[in-house]
Amino acid sequence: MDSQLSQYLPVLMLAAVAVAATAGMMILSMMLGKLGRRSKAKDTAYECGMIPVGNPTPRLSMRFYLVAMLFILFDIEVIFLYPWAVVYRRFLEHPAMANPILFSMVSFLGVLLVGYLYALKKRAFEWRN
Amino acid sequence: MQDILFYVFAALTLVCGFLVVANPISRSPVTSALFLVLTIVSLSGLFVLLHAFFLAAVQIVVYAGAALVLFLFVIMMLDLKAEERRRITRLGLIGGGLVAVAMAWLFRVVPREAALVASGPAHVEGSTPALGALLFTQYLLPFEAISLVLVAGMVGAILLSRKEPS
Amino acid sequence: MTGVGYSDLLAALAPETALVLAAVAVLFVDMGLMRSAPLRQRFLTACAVAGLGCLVTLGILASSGAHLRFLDGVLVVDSLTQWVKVFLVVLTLFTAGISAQAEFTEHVGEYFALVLLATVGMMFLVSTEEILMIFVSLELTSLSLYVLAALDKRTRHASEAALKYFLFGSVAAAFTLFGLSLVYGLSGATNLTGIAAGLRAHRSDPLLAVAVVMVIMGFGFKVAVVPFHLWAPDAYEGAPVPAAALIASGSKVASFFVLAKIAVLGFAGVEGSGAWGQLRAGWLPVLAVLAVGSMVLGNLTAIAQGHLRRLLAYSAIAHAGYVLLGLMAMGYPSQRSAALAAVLYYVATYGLTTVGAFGVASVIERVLGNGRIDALAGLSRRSPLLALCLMVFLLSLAGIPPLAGFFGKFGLFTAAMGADPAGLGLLWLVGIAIAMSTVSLYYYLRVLKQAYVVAGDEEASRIVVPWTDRLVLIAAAVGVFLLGALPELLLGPLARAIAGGNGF
Repeated sequence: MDSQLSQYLPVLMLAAVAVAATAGMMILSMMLGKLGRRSKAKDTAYECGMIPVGNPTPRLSMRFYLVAMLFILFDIEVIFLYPWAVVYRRFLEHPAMANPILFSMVSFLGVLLVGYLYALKKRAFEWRN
Repeated sequence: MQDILFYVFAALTLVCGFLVVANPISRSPVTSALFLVLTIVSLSGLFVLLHAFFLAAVQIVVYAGAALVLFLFVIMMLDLKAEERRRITRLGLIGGGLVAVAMAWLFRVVPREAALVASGPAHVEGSTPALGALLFTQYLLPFEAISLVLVAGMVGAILLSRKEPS
Repeated sequence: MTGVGYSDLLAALAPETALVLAAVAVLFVDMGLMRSAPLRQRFLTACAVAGLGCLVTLGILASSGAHLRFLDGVLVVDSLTQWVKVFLVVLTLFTAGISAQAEFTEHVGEYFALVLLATVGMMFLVSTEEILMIFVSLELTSLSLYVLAALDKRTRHASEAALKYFLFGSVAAAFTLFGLSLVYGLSGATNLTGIAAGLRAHRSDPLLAVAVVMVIMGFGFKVAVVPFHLWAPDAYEGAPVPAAALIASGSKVASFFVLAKIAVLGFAGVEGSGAWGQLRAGWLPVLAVLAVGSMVLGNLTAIAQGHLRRLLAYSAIAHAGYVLLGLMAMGYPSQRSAALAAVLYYVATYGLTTVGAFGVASVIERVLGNGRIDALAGLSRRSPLLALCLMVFLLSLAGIPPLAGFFGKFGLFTAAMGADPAGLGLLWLVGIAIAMSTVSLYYYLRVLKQAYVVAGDEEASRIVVPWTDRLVLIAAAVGVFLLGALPELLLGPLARAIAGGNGF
C-alpha cells in the first residue's frame, strides 16, 4: 500500500470503530436490557392514552426544499475551491499564471455573488415571511 | 490488503444499491434514501482505492451531504403512502428483465472486443493537484461556465418554489 | 504548465460577457428600481435593457473578425461561429420583442435574465469543439429553458408541460453524458478532432455503437425528432409563448449546429452508410431512421391538431427530420460544405419563421384567451396585419416560393441528392421528404383557410397589435420574404465563412 493510500487508513479505522460501536450498542442493549424486547401489547398506547390517528410524520414545508437546494448549489461552489486551494501556491510561482489563477476564481465567485445577492434580495434565506 | 478492501467496498456498494430499490424488510422511501447514502459512501471508498481522492471527497460532500438531504426533504414533502403500497407491476418486471438481459449481453461482448484506453493500473494523475492544474488551464472555460449554470439554477430554484400571489 | 493567453481569451469572449452583464443588469434593474411599478411597465423596461444587451452583443460580433482557437478547441472563434451567434442573438432579440407585452409572470427580471443566460449557453455551445464544454453549455441552456417553461404558474396545464419538458430533458442529458463518457473512454480525448483520431482503432467496437447511439439519442431529445419528440407538443403548447418560441428556434439552431459538429468532426470515420439497399452501421443509418420517423409521423400527426402551437410543434418535428437529411449529406466529404451551408440557411430561416409564428400566436392568445385554430375565424378582418404575417410564416414553413422556407428545403434536398457520388443513395429519403412536404401543405392551408375564408363573429372588434409585437412581426416577415427572394444575402456570407474555416 503506497503512502497516499495509507493516509486514508485512519479514516477506515474510524469507520470500522463507528460501525462496531453503534452495532455493539444496539446488540448489547437488546441482549442485556429490556428495551429491545417489544411485544404488541407494549407498543400500544398506555391505558388512557390516545390511540394515535393520522400520519405520524407531518409533511415538511416547501421552505426546506429551497434551503436544501441552495445548500447544494453553494456546496458545489465550495467543492471547486478545494482543487483551487491545492494548486494556488504552485501557480503563483509562475509569473505568467499568478494573475490568471487568482482572477479565474474571483470571476467564478463574482458570478456566484450575483446569485447570492439575488437570493438575499428575494429573502430566500429568511425563515419567516 | 487493497484487494480485500476493493471486494469489501464493491460488495457493500452492490448490496446497498440493491437495498435501495428492493428492500425486502422496509418499503419506506426514507430507508431507501439512507441506503443510498451507504452506497455512495462505499463508492467513495472505491474511488480512494483508485487514487481519485478528489472524486471521493466530491462523493461525500456533494452527493451524500447535499443531494441526499434534498432527496430526504422531497420525500418528506410528498405523500408517500401510495409509494409504500406499490408493488412491482408486470410491465416493470418485463422491462427490467429486458434491460438486465441487454446488460448481460453487453458485459459478455464488450470486454472481449473493447480495449478501453483507461484500463490498466491506476495512474497517480488522478490526484487533486493534477486535477487543479488541468481545471484552471485547459478546462478554465467550462469551470467559469459552471458558475453561470449555478446562478441559473439558483434563480430557478427560488422562482419555482415560491407561491405565486395570485 | 503552459501559459494560456488569458487576455486573448477574454477578448474572444466579449460577446458572451456582454450578454451575461446584460442578464445581471436586467435582473437588478427590475428588482431594485422597478419593484413598485406596474407590471406592463416592468416588462417594457426589462425588455429594453435586454434588447440593448442583445444589440451591443451584435455590435461586438460584427466588429470582430478574428479566427482563434483556444485550448485545443475549448473555444473556437471564426467567422462561421460568429454567424451562428448572430442568428442566435437575433432570435433572442425577437423573443424579447414578443415578450414585451406579456403578463404571464410577476418575475420579469428573472424571465429576461434567464432568456439571456440561455442564449449565452447556446453561444458557448456553437463555439466549442470540446465535449466537456459542450455538456456544460448544453446544461446552461437547458436549465434556463426549463425554468422559463415553468414560469407560467397560473394553470395546471403549464406546470405539467414544464415538468414533462424537464424530465425528458434531464433524461436526455443523462444519455448524452453517458454516451460522451463512453466516447472519452474509447478515444482518450475530449476535443472532437482528438476523438476522431482516437476512435480510428475502435471502428468495430460494440461500445462505440452504444456511445454513438446514446449521443445521438440525447441530442435527438433536444431537437425533438421521433421517437424522442413526446415532450415537444406539450412544452410548445403549455410554456409561456415567448419561452416556447426560444425553445423552438434558438435552442434548435444551436443544437443542430453542435450535433453536426459532433457527428462530422468527432465521429469522422464511423459514418457507415444510409444509402438505400446498402445500409452499413454508423451514424448515418441512425440519422436516416430518425429522419424518416420524424418526417412521416410529424407531418401526419400535425393534420389532427386543433391548437395552433401544437400544430407548430408537430411541424417542428417534421422540419427536424428535413434538417437531418442535410446532416446526413454532411457525412459525405464531397458535399460537406454545400450541405453545411444548406443546413445553416435552413435552421436560421426556420428559426426566424418560428419566432414570427409564435409571435402571432402570442398576440392572438392574449386577445382571444385561447390558441385554438377554430378561434382564428375571421382573423383577416379583425387584423389584416396578423393574418398576413401568419400567412407568410406558414407558407414559408410549407415551402412555397418565394419565401425562405422554399429555398431552405431546396438547398437541403439538392445537398442530399448529390451526397452519394456512387449513385443516388439518399434519393429514397428525399422522396419521402418531398411527399411529406406536400402533406404538410394541407394542414398549413387549413389554418390559413380558418384565418382568411371562414367568417367569424361579425360583432368581433378589431385586434390591436401593440407596437413592439408589430415591429417584431413585420421584421420577421420581411426577413423571411427577403431571404427567400434573395437567398444569396445569407448564403454568400455563409459560404465564405465555411470556406475560410477549418473545414467546418
